[in-house]
Amino acid sequence: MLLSTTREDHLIAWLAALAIAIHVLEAALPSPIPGVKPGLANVITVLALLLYGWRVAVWVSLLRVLAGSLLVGSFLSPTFLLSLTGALASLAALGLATAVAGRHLSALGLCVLAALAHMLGQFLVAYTLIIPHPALLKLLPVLLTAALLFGLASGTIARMMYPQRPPAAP
Amino acid sequence: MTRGDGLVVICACLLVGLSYVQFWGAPDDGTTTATREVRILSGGTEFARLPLDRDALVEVPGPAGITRVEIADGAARCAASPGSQGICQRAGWLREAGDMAVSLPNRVLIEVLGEAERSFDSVNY
Repeated sequence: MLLSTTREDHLIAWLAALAIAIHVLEAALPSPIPGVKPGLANVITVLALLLYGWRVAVWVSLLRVLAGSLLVGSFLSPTFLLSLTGALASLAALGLATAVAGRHLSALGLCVLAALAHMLGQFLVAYTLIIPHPALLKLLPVLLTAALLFGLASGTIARMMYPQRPPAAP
Repeated sequence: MTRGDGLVVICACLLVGLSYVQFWGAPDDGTTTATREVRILSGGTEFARLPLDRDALVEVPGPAGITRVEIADGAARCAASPGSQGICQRAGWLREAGDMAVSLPNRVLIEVLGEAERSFDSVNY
């Protein structure tokens, strides 16, 4: 039996493949502080949101986390858990932001929001489940600074790729 | 950059700034030193409870003689005690919560009280 696929399935697969490639490339980069990485795959999620709506963005993001972790070898490890909660938090923030103020935000604002939500979601899980020690809180300002800077960077890239505002009804 | 973007970036900067104030500020200092006290027990009952930030010299009478407790520079010590081995004096300056000096012959116990987390006084495997 042949699986029937829709045009949207192909779209999601292409975008997810792109995001996974970025995810795997980034995993090869050394990181100065645990938890800090550029998060350029964020660009793909935000572009998917702007071009095709939140549903597609959710698919692309979650597929990226799943397949990316399988390729890197961190599937079901604490890293995977952090990656997943970060993705879920940023998707929630993106969904909320587009629902509330979608027409006022461009890719830049969305990327910054997503990056901060990603970091906060991750940190919450890291603090409650993995390292529940008050010293970890000392790291939070550094992590948030990194998230803001990388959010601005990925936002600038996303804006160059898609300068318009999102469609009125996503 | 749209106006919404500007708002998001400003809020994000505020959040980051706030996190520095919240987590890198020094809320611990002051509260712990202010509440820190030294308690002196003599023969199992409390003889004195003194704040560590005020210098003092206390003489504690006991069955073997007089134990002199000195408080200076936010720390307390046993300056002199009738015990023959000097164990009480050798405990040195007691600064952190839980630090202790004991004179068994004179039945005196000098102990720093405080809110701070107590460190272990011994670990066994």
